[in-house]
Amino acid sequence: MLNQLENLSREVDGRYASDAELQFLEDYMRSFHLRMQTYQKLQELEVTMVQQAYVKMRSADASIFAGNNREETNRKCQRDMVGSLRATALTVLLDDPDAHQERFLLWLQSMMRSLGKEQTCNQLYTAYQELAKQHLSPAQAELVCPILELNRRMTGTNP
Amino acid sequence: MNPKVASILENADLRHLKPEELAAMSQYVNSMPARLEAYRSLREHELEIMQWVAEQLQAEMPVEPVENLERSIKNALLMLRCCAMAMLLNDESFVHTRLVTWLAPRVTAYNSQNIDSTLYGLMNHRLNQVLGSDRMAVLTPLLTYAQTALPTAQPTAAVEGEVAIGW
Amino acid sequence: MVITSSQQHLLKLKHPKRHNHYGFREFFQFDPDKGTLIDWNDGQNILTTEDFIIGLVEGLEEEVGNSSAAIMYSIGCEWGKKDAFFFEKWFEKEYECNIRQSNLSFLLETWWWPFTAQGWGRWEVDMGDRRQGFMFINIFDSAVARTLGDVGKPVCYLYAGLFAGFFTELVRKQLSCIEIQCYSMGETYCKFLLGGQDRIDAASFWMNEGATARDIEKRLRGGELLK
Repeated sequence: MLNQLENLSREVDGRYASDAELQFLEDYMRSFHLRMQTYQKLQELEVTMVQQAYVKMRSADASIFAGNNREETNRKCQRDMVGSLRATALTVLLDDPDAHQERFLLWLQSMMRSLGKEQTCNQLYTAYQELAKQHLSPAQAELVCPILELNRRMTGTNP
Repeated sequence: MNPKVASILENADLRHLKPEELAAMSQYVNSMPARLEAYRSLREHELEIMQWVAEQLQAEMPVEPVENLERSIKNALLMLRCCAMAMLLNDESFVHTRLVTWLAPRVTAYNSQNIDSTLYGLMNHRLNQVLGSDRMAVLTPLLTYAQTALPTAQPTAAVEGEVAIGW
Repeated sequence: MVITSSQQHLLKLKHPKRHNHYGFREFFQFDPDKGTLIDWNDGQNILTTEDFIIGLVEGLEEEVGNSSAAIMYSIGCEWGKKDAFFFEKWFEKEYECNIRQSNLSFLLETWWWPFTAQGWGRWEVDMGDRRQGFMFINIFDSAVARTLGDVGKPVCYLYAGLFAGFFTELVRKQLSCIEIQCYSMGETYCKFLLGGQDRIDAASFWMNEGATARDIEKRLRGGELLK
């Protein structure tokens, strides 16, 4: 919403926005309470979701977190897993998937590809979606899963 | 963007927002219906308001060349529209970067301070009359900011009933 | 582009370890009072329109005719060389890792991101033939080609020079670069060959004979060279 509002402020320079152009604000106001709730719930669940995702991924593929420097790699991976969940939560709160793409996903995509981590990303965001459906209410999961799926499509390999 | 909210969002994708930050966000979103209402109302009534202002202005400044009055009215329209958006954004700095920075030198160059001062008095009066105090509550801070930031004399509040043409 | 300003990027000062800082609002810092535009790496930037690019290219052509291509390439080389040093400094500071010890793909993607943020286009590096001493780079939305449109000849000499200059410094071997496919020739993206002079000369010769980028790729991979 904030990103869209900023874009709008540029587009309507010197004039007024029409009701159609303001519609996204109405939609946002209506969904705000649920978004706020979902954001706070994701904050609470963060540790759980990261841990459970980690377990899911390792049980599916033991080599996934293997590396030259196991501890350092794990630490970095967990930090990235937390980071992407937080970025996702923020996107849900603000309803700004375009900003999420521009500020985070496009960069993350190129970095993950350069390190050959597409498969890992695929598994991570699949795991997160499963966990979201498990731990969140249906309405909350409905907000979160599309963003997780966007993350997966951008950074993971296509199935 | 609302500077308070903007600074909250710095690095917010790498950390949790604090309760007070979430509260600020809520406050902003909860104030949005009132802002939208004021915005739409202004949009709807701008023409009638500014037509009245233009006529009054001409009557109060009969010797002033018309193109000078027109210039000031055009600028006032841009000011209104800019302040309207700033009101949605709840961001005074928007008025500064999008209006004041370029308009201030023009006011000085064209020496329009006197016209502007009279115009603002008329405009503020008419806005209050047409939009009402509730809607003006959200718009006035931005308008005041714009009008005092530009190189004009303090806008004089038009006195009730003392207009060149009675309506 | 490589002019370091004396100003500092305030957001970066606050969050120096933020790696994903390439969004428009993060990467660039506008200072309307000073009239300056600096980027995350404290480089000074200017915003230009397509008219600027047209003016640059056509103005140069008017001055020096056909040599304009060579001149743009040379300018690119100088730029690439200087940028290599500029990049090394900020990369090592941000990632606390020597550039020669970093994963090469990761390094290159990180090098190019500021260019993407600045509007030079997105890229794709094909290092599959690195051991044979050459590689290919694709550019999507080349600023120069997109501006000039379909003019029936390659136009991205600045890019070719940039790659040559940068990679020469990076690998510490003399490398050249040639554009073998261009948006300005009706293609959907631009393709560059980077390698030793002998390979570039070969590609250039084949292009003059009418070879496509695909032909050139095939011939190089097949070990063909000019005798």
